[in-house]
Amino acid sequence: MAWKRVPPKIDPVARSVLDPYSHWALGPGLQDFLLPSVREQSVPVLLRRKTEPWDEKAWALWRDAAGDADMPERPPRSAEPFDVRLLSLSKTRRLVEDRTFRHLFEGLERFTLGPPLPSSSAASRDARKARPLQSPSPGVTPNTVVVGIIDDGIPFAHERFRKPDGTTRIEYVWVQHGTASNVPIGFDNGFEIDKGEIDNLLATCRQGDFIDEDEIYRRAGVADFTREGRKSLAWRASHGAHVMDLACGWDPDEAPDWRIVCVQLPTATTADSSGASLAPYAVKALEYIRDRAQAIAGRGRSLPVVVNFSYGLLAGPHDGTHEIELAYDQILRDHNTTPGNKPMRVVIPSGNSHLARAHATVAFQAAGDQATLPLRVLPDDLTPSFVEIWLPPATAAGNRVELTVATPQGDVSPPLEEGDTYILQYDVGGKVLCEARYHLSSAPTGRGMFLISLQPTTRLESENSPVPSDPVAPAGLWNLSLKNLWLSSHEPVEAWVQRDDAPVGYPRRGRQSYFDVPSYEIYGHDGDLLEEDDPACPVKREGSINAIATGRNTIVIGGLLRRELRPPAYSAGGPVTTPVGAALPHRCGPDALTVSDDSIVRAGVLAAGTHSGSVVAMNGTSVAAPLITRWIAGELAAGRRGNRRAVWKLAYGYELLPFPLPRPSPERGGAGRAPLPPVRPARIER
Amino acid sequence: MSYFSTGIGPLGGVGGVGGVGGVGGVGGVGGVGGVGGVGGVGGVGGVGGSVYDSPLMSDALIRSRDGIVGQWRAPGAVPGELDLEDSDNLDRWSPWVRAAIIDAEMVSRLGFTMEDATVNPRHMAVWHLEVPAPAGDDAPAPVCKPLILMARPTETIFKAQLTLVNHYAELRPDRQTEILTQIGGGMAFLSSIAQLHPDRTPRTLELLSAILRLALFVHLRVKQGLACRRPVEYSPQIQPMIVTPAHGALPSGHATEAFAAALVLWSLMKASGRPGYNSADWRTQLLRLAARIAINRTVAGVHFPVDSAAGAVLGLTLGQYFVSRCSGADGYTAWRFNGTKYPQDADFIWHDLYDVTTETLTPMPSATGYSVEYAANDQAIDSQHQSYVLAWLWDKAQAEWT
Repeated sequence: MAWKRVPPKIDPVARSVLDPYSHWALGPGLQDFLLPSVREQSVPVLLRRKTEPWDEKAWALWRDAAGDADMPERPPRSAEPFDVRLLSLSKTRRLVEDRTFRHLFEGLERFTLGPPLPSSSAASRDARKARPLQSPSPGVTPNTVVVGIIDDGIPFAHERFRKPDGTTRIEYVWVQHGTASNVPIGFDNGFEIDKGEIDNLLATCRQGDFIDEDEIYRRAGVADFTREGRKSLAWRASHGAHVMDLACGWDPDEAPDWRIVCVQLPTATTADSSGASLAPYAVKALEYIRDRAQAIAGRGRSLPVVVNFSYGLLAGPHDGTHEIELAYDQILRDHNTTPGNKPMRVVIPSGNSHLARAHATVAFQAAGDQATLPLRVLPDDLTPSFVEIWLPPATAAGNRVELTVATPQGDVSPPLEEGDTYILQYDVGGKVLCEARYHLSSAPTGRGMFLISLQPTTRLESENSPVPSDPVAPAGLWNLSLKNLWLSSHEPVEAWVQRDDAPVGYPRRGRQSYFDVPSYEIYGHDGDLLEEDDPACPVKREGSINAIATGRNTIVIGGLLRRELRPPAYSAGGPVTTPVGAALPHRCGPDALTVSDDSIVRAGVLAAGTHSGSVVAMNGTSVAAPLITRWIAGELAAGRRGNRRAVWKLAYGYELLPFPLPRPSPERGGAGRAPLPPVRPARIER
Repeated sequence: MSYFSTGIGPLGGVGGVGGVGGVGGVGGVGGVGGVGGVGGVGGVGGVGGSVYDSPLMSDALIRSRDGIVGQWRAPGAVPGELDLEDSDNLDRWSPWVRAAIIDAEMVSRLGFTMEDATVNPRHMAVWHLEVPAPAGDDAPAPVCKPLILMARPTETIFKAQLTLVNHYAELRPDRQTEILTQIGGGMAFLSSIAQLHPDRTPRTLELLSAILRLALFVHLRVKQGLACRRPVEYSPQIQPMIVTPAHGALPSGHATEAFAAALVLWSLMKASGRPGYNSADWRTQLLRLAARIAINRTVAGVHFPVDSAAGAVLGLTLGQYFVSRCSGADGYTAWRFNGTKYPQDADFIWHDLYDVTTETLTPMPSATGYSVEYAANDQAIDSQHQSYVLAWLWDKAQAEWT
């Protein structure tokens, strides 16, 4: 058993734009990247081009790699900067490893792999043959707003999204996984359910006068127990039902003309944290909502759009350059700067990981100093674990800091240098248990990081074998040691553990690793959870903000206890890392806080369960974000801007009230607290 | 024990012999029952023997009599004889005694046979026995009329159904409390739709206990005949979240009892004539509940969906048969469930089996369908053979729903 330094296999041009997790996903982590027991799998590949348009040679290579005869032969002139295609695993590998594609990579800024789907979810050529887009319902008025929801468990039959006449306000639903029939026009996977179909189901799935929502979801193929996969809508509550009610649920008799477009993420197949990015799905989801909103508005017209995306990650550059952040910022910027377009907004939660111990900051005092981050890797973790250690921007190539990794058994690696092209691998019996690599993210991130990848700490079985044969990493303390060579005390190194947790209601397979530093105090003298950091402790609560919530154009919302008027202990915040070349970061944390819990003892807020008539409590910044989404929808309907600045003004206004506690720091609370009225009052006010 | 026990068992039961339902027997444990709470309170007849049976009380009674009895004198006027076989007498008996009488009325008119090996598939047949009044002291000659015939699915079908059981396991955490509280029955769930309470609706509870016991006798007898293995026997990975009961899988007892009780309850409410009870809303909600109770057993990992389909067909057939016998209707519909024709990957969808608007089981094409009418015409019940015991109970129960 030994640490090895392994030379890179991949061409440096490809390497610089390839999402570093892809190396693990296609290499030692392949068995966790692939779906178990699915023979044909399709890998979504997200390309983001540099600003220049496609050149013919690059387009030909991409067309060849994708093997998609439907792609035009000539490069599209006004193409999106993004392109997502579903490729077979072998094609994906060839694209990454075969140097003939070098020219394609030269024109790219990023190349990101998403978790695979069964190939049955990917559109065949026939399925993509133009089916006319079902025309949306007419009657758009100046008060019409489109609300977009990207989530899991979208209850499209629910009465909270119906009109007084019993038909739905939902215009389109895109289910991103599931048998690819009725694939949405312009997209490549899953299926689309439009308003006509929902209305038809509402009319026909009845016993007597009673609508049978279970039957609707069964017929629509989202909760049919003869099929595989998770059926979030068969549960009492789903994340999507709760979030969507808060964002745009109304009593049918009171509902304004808010048209709804929803995207069901392929959460069931992507719930596990394999290291693959949800970015390809998230980017297509936003494009879909934008395109369908345009279809609802009609040719030559525009409707305001607000999208809620209650989703989060822990690790990332935290400077607004995560792939999802870049894509969302660009889509928003392009849309909002196009003359004639009404505004489009996206709301994202600030994250629930304030106390996750998943963030550490190391500021060295002098050259030669060492710092160790002990990573607690838990037993019974069925999924891989990852740590990103981000270095400050470098003005010139050089080795300013080096990393060594020690296993729980004390096996210490040779140093991995900044700029190292070699990869550290901990190899036991020919199986890689841990890998550490240096990756320089090209512009606009423009910074280097060390990515440490670990195998799961336990396995139940392997593909085609009831006894596990794939590698497992030992649980325990993995010591990540940094030795300072050239960094100044103003150049901190920031580390984040990647999210390794299941979505709401899903069985937990992963276990969240964390930095286990003895000097970290969990509780204060009063026995309460400490929410403030000790400057002497490298493990930080601050800066635990959702890694896709540091963009420029998205609206980021943290949680708030309605009664106590302070953020709940879990609500994460900044600071946010200053982007390369900027003097200051473009945000310091969330834009504002709104209610995520009625009080410290009445955790959560009330909103819809999956079935009409049911109400459940759920908490988290995920349920705060849609309350702001709802407010923005109202602002947009009234012809106001509903942008980041408007959210700040909303919070400033509330902060003028005589609140008992002072305003939280801007890093934690943004412009301040905005305790908007509840969507579902917890009690009748007398 | 009836899953849906209301605690009014024939022997024992609420306030039964010894009050604790000690004698047991069918429904005896039912005394503990009322798992749903309703009726479990010991309200009905709870005063039973127990208070008088204590050594303290009986000693006091002895001493009290000794103190005041005086010289023995033959009584003067005595009460007249009670009428033979008179429904008025039923009011005189303890509920558990009536339950035994009712059981005798029901079970004595049932026959069970298995078709011989010349038939494929072999059906377990349940017959209604029409017993004419004897002429003089001649023995009566009962006539068998078909009630329901059931054939079990093939092994291939059960094996395919296992996939559905596995898929339904996802819902275990979501349905856990329902599954656990429904192990012993779902009466509390029925009473969440229609107001059932031992003080307010004692006769309705007696009537429901009767149909539950009828369902129990029949489904257990049919299970014995059809001998279907439980999911846990097919795969080590089903791992049910409750103990798999030690009786056959098909038909599902929970489905049989839940659907039978639902049908009887809404039929009774409707017969009361109270406005509103004749709308489809009440029966829809009761049927949804019955289906949920049945499906919860699949979620738990102890039943295949086809078991629920068979149980629903059986329960609804028995329910309408029972209502016909109670209410003096002149006939009932006989049915056939042929499990070998069940589409192997089909889920249990209750509204494919029953039309809530017409209040009839939906016949499928007999060439391919698994749930079909036995004959084009209803089976006639001669009104002179109506059970006055069942009619008495029905009328008393109906009066509680005005």
